Amino acid sequence: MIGELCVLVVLLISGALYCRLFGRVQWWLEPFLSLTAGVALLICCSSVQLVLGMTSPRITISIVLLLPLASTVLMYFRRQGSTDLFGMKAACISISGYVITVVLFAITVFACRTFHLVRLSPDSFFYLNVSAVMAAGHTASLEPSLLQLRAMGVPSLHGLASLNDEMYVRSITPLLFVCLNWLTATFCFLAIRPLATRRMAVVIALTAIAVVCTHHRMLWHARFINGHILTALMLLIISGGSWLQSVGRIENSALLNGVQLVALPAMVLTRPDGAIFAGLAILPVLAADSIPLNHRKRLLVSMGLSTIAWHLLLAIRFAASGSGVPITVSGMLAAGILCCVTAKLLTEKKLGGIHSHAVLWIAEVGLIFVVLYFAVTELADFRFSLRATFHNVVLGAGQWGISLKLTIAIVAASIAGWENRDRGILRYPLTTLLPAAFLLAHLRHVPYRMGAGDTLNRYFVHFVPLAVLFIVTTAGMNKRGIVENCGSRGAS
Amino acid sequence: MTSAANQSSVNSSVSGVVLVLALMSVANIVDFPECERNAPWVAVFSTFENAAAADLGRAHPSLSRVATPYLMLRQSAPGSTISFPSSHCFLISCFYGLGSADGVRIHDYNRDRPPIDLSTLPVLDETVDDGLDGKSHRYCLLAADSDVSELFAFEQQGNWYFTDVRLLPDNFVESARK
Repeated sequence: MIGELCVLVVLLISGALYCRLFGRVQWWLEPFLSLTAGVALLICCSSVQLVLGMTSPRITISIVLLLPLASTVLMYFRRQGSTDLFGMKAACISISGYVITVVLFAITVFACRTFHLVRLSPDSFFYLNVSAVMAAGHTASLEPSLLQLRAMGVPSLHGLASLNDEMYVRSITPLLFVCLNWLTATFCFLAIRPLATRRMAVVIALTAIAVVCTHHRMLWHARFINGHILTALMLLIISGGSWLQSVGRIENSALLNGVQLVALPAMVLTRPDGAIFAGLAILPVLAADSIPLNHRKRLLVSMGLSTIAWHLLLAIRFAASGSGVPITVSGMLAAGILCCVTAKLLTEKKLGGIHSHAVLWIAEVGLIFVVLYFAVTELADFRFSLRATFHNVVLGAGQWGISLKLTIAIVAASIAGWENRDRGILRYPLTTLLPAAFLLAHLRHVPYRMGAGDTLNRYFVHFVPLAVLFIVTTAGMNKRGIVENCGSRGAS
Repeated sequence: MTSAANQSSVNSSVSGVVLVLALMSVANIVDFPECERNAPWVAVFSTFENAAAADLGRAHPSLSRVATPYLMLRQSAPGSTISFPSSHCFLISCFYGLGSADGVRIHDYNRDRPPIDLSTLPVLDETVDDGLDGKSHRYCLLAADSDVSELFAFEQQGNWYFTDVRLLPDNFVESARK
C-alpha cells in the first residue's frame, strides 16, 4: 500500500511542480489539475522512452519527477528577488489543498487494496501485457499492431506497478475517476458562479457529480483497467477548460493552458483513435478568438508533434516488421504534419479573414457526408453498426439504463432550444462524436456490435462529463447567447 | 432586456438546471441496469483465483467473460518476457513466459522449478469453434505438470490464455468441445 501511495504522490508532486511553472489557481482546483498533469507527463515521458528504447519504470518516474523540479529550480533562480513563486501565505493555503488530496489518495488506495475494486477484461490483459513487456525493457518484441491498438497511456500508468513488484496500479483508475468527478464539479461551479450565489453554484456542482456517478457505465469504468476514464479526463481538461477560458470564468488560465499542453499528447497516446477525437476537440478552440492566439498555436503544435512522433514510431515498426504501413498510420502522420504547418501559418490576420464558424460547420457537415458515402458503399456494415448502436443506447444492450438516453435527450434539447455560438467548444465534440465514430468503424473495417463492451458504447464514457457541463451552461443562456450582465467575454 | 429582468431569467434558468440534474440523478438510480443492481457492489477479487471463480461462477456464455481472469502470453512475440508478480497469479504463482516460434515455454515456473514447454505437452483434445462474438477460437486441453493439474488453454487471435481446469465450471470443457 505504501509503495502504491508513494507512486501516486510522486505523480502529484511532479504535476504540482509542473503547474507551479504557470502560476496558481484556487487551492481546491490545483491538486486535481496537478494530478492530471502528472499523469499526462508520465505518459509523454514513457512515450519518449519507448522511442529511445529505455522503458524502465524507475527511469520514467525519475524523469517525471526531476524534469519539472529542475524547471522549477531554474525558474526560481531566474526570478530572484520575486517571492511570487514560493510566497509563504499562498504556499501554505496551496499545500493544505495538497495535504487533503494526499489523504484522499491514501483512502482510495486503502479502499482499492482492501476491497479489490477492479474489473478486468481480455483488453485489460492486452494493456498489462504491453505494460509488463515495457517494464521488462523488451520493447523490441512488441508487435506494431499491438502497440497501435493499445497505445501508451494505460501501459505507462500500470507499468509503475512493477516498482512494487505488482502487476497493475490498483487505485489509479478509481483515482482518475474521482479526479474526473471533481473537475466536472469544479468546472460546473466555475461556469455557474458568475450567475448564481455560491450556495447555488455548490448545489449545481454536487448534482453534476451525482449525475456523472449515477451513469451506470461510468461507475463500471471507474474500476475497469482501460483508458476510457483517462481519455474522458483529458477531454474535459481540453474542451471544458478551453470553454471556461473563452468565457473568462477561470482565475489563472495560464495554468490550465499548461495542463492542456500535456493533456493533448496524453489523449493522443491513450487510445488508437485519440488523435481524431483530440483533433475534433481542439478544432472549435482554434476558432475561439477570445483564447490567445499563441496558446491556440501551442495546442496545435502539441497535438501535431505528439501525433507525428507516435505514428512515425508505428510506421517505422510496421516497416521493420515487413508488413506495410497501414493507411491509418500514414494518414495520421500526414494529419500531424498538417497540424504543425497550420500552427506555423496561423496568424490573427489570417484567422480574421476566415469565417471560423463556417469552417467548423463545413467540417461537421463534411464529416456527416463522408459517413453517408461510406454508408452507401458499405451498407451492410453500416446497418449492422446502426442497429447495434440503437440496441446499445435505446434498448438497453449497452447497460446504460436510462442514463445515456436522458443525457442525449437533454443535450439535444439544449442545443435545439438555446444559442450555441458561445459554447461551440463544448458542443462540437459532442455532436461530432457519432459521425466520427461511424467513420472509424469504416476505417477499421469492423462494425459496432451489441453489448456493453462495444467500442462505441465505451466511447460514450469520454463524453458524459462534457455533456453534463454542457447542460449546466444552459443556465444563463438565452436565444442570443450568454446573457449580457454576467460578466463574460464570450467566445467567438 | 433590463438587468433585473436578466437576473430573474438567469435565476430561474439556474434553478431549472439544478432541477434537471437532480431529476436525471434520480432517474438514473431508479433505472440502474438490473444485471448490475443484483451484482455485489464490492466484488472481492482478492486474487486471480477468486476472480476466476467469481467470473466463471456466473456461467456467462461469452468467451470474453471466461477469458477475463486468465494469464495471457503473446505467442507471436518471440523473445518477449512477461513477468507476473507472485501476488497476482493463480496457481502458477510466478513465472516468466517466453514466447517462441514453436510454442510457449514457461520459465521460472514457481521460481524453483525447471522450465516446462507447453508445446511438448500432449494435446488431449482440440476443438475449433466458429466463434462467440463473431470471432473464431481454438481450444486445446493440455495435460500439464501434475502439480498444476490440467491447464486449459485456448487461442484467440494469436493470444494464448491459460487456466487451471479446476477453476472452470462443471462441464465447461465438455461444452467447449461440442
